[in-house]
Amino acid sequence: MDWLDAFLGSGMRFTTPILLAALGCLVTSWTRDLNVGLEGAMIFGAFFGVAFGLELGSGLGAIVVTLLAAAVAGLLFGILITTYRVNVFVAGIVLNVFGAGATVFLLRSIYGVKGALADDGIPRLARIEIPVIGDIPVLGGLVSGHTVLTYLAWVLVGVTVWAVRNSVVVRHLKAAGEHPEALETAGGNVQRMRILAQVWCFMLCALAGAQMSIGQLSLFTEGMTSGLGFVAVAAAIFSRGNVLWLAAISTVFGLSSAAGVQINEEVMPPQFAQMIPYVVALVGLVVLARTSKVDQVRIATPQLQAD
Amino acid sequence: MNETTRPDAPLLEASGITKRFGPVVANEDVHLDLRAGEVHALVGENGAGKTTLMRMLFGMYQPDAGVIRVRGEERQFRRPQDAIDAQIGMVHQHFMLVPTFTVAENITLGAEPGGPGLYSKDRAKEAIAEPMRRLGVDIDPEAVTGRLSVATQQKIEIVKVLYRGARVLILDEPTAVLTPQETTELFELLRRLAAEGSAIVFISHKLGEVFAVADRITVLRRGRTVGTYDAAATDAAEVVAAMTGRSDVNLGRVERVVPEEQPPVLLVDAVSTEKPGHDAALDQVSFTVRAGEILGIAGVEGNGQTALAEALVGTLALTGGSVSISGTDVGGLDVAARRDHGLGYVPEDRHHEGLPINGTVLEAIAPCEVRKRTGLGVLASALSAKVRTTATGLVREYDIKAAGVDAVCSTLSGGNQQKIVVARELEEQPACLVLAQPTRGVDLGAIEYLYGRIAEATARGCAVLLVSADLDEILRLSDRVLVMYRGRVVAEKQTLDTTREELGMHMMGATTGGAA
Repeated sequence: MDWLDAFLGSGMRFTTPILLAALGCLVTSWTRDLNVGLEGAMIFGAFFGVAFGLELGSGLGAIVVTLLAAAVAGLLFGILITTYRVNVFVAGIVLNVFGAGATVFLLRSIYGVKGALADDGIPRLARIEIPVIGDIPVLGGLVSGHTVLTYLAWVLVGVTVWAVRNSVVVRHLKAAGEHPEALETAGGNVQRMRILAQVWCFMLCALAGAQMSIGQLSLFTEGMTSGLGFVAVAAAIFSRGNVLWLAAISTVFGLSSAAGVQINEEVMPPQFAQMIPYVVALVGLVVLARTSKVDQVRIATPQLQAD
Repeated sequence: MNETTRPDAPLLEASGITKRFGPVVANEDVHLDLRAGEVHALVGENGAGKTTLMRMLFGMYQPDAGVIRVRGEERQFRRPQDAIDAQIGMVHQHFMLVPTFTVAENITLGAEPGGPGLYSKDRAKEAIAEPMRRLGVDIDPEAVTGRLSVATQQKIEIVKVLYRGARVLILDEPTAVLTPQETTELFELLRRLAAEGSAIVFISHKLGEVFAVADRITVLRRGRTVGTYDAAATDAAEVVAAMTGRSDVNLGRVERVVPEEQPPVLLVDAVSTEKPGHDAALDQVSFTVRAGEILGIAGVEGNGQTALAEALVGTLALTGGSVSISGTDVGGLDVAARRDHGLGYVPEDRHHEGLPINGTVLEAIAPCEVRKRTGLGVLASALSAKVRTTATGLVREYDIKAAGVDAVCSTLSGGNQQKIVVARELEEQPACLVLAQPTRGVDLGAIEYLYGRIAEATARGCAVLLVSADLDEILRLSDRVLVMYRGRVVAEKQTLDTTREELGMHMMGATTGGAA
C-alpha cells in the first residue's frame, strides 16, 4: 500500500496550490471580474516567497511579507480594472506574461543565476506530522505530513462555505457582479467590492505560489507553476460558484496531476501519464457543457426584453 | 430632530434644481413639493427630465444648482445612502433586484440583519414580515427573485423601500410592465401607503393612470416645470397641452377611412407552434386581416402574442397550420422570402431586433435597400451614395430628429428610433405590416405621428396586425380586436362595440361564442 500512500500524499500536495488559487479566483467570478492572471500571480508568489525567505531566514515570515506584497499588488490591479477601466481579461493575460518575464529578469539581475535558484539559506515550511493518524495507511498520506498552507487551504474552504451562507460581504460581492446598480442604490459600494475580490485573489495566489517554492521544495525555478494557475481558473469556472464543487474539482485535478508523476514507466509511457490532468480537464469540460442549464435564472427587463 | 425642521413643511421639496450633462440641460429651475399623504404624479414626455430629477432626489446625481429640503431642512444627497437616511426610497424602472438572490436577500441588501458583517436568514425573514404586512402582500422570502413574475418583483421593490423606512416613495414608470389588473392592484397599494402618511411620487406618461391615482400632477417639459395641478381641478386636455406645448394633440381614436369589404391579405389558419422560451405556444390560431384593416391583438403579456408575431415573420417555426399573404402560402419560407412576398415587421424589441442600437441611422435604414441586391451588386459598397440619399430623404420625410444620417441610434430618443424602424418598413410598401408593441417608450408627439403614418399605409391597402399590451393603443387604432389567452384566441370584437373592461375580462381567460 506504500504506492497508494505516496500517491495520495503527492495528490494532496498538488491539490494545495490549485485549491488556494481557485478559491481566490472564485471570489473574482462573483464580482464578474474573473481573474485569468492566476498563473502570473502565483509565479510572483513563488519567487517572492523564496526571495523574502532568503532575507528573513524564516518560512512563515516570508509568507507574511509575501501576503502583504500580494495585497498591495491586488489593490493596484483592482484599481486598474475599476477606476482605470482596463478590461480584466486583458489585464489578467498581461499579468501572466509579466509574471513569467519579470521573475526570470529578477532572478538574473538580483541573484545572477539562470533557470533555478537553490540555496541553503532558503527556508522551508515545516511538514506537520500528525501523530497516530500519520501511521494509519491511506488516511496518513491524505491527512498527515503537509505544510501549514495545505491545512489552511482546507480551513478556507470551510470558511468560504460559512461566509457564503452567513456573511454580508459575500452577498455584496455577488450583488456587485450580478447587478451593480442594485447594490449601489441599496447603499453598497460596488467599486470597493470589486477591488476587495482582486486583493483576496492575489493573496491566495501568493500563498499558492509560496506553497510550490518554499512549501513543497525550497528552491525557485523559472516557470515552476507550470500551468497550475490555468488549471485553477478551470476549476473555478467548472464549479459555477459552488465552493464544495470547487474543492472537489481541485482535488480531482490535484490527484490526476499526481498520477501523471507517480505512474510507473512500466504501466504507461510518461508522455501519456503526463497527459492525464489535461484529459481529465477536457472530459470535465465536455460533461459540464452537456449538463449546463440553458434556462438560467434571469430577471425581467422592463420595456425591452431580450429572449 | 433638527430645529429647522417644521412639521407643516412639505415632506420633500426641490426648488430651482438645475442639472446639465455637458452641453445638454436636463433640468432647469425645476420645482417640486411633496406633502405627506398624497400621490403626486410627475408627468412629461420622454426626455422631459423626469428621471433625472428623481435621480437627484435619490442622490444618484448631484444638482448643479438648487436646493432639496426634507421637512423644511436643507439636505445634500451625495449618494443613495444619504437619501435612504432621509427616508426617501426609489423603485426604479429597471428593477434593482439581483436575480439569483432570494426575496429576503434582495429586500435586506445594504441593511442586512444579523449583526455587524453577518447575514441571518431567519432574522431577515422576521425583519421583512412587517413591511410586507404594511403593504398587504405575502411573498415567500426564500423564493429566488429572478423566477418570480414582473408584478411580484415590483412588489418586492416596494417592500424593499419600506424596509429601509422610506416615507417618500418614488416610482419610475411602474406600470410600464404591468397588466391593467396588476396596475389597479398597484394603485390600491399606493393609496394604502399614502393613507398611512407617506408621500408617493408616481412617474408616468399614461394620463389615464395618472388621473386614476394622483392627487396632484406636476408637469415637466424640456427640463422645466410647467406647473403643478390639482388632479380634481384639471383634465387630460390641459395636462397634455402642458406636456406637449400643443393644444391639438389627439388622444382619442385615430381618424381614418375604414375601407369597405376588401379582399383578405393575411390569412392565418389553425397555426400552432412549439413553446418558445419567453412566451406561450400558439394553439390553433386562425384569423384573417383584410386590405386596409387594422386588427388588434390584445392579451396579458406571455399569452402568445410575441410568439404569434414571430411565427408570422418566420423566426418561430410552425408545427401546424398555414400562413398566407395575398394568396401565397409563406408558412415554410424564411424571413427574407416572406418579406419578398410583402411582409413588413416592426419588432417588439427595438434595441435588439429593430435597429443596430450602436450603429448609425444610415445603417439602420440601409438593410431594406441592400437586401434587394442580386448578382454582383452584393459586392458593391453597402452604404452607397444612393442608400445615403434614400436615408437622408427618409430622415427628412419622417421628421426624425437626429444630427444626420451618421448619428448613432443610441443617442436618439425612443420616439425617433421607432420612427426610423417604421420609416424603413413602410418604405418597402408592404402588403401586410406586423406591428409588435409599436409605441413602447415612445413619446406622445411621436405616437400621434406614427399612428398617422400607419393610417396612411392602410389607406393605400396595407393590412396591419397590431400586437400591443397597451389597451388604449388597441382601442384607438384597430378596427377589430382579438384577445389571446394561453396561446389561443378567446374573443373577437369590433373595437367600437367593446370596452376596456370587457377586453380585460377576456384577457383573464373568459371566452365568448365569437372566438375562432
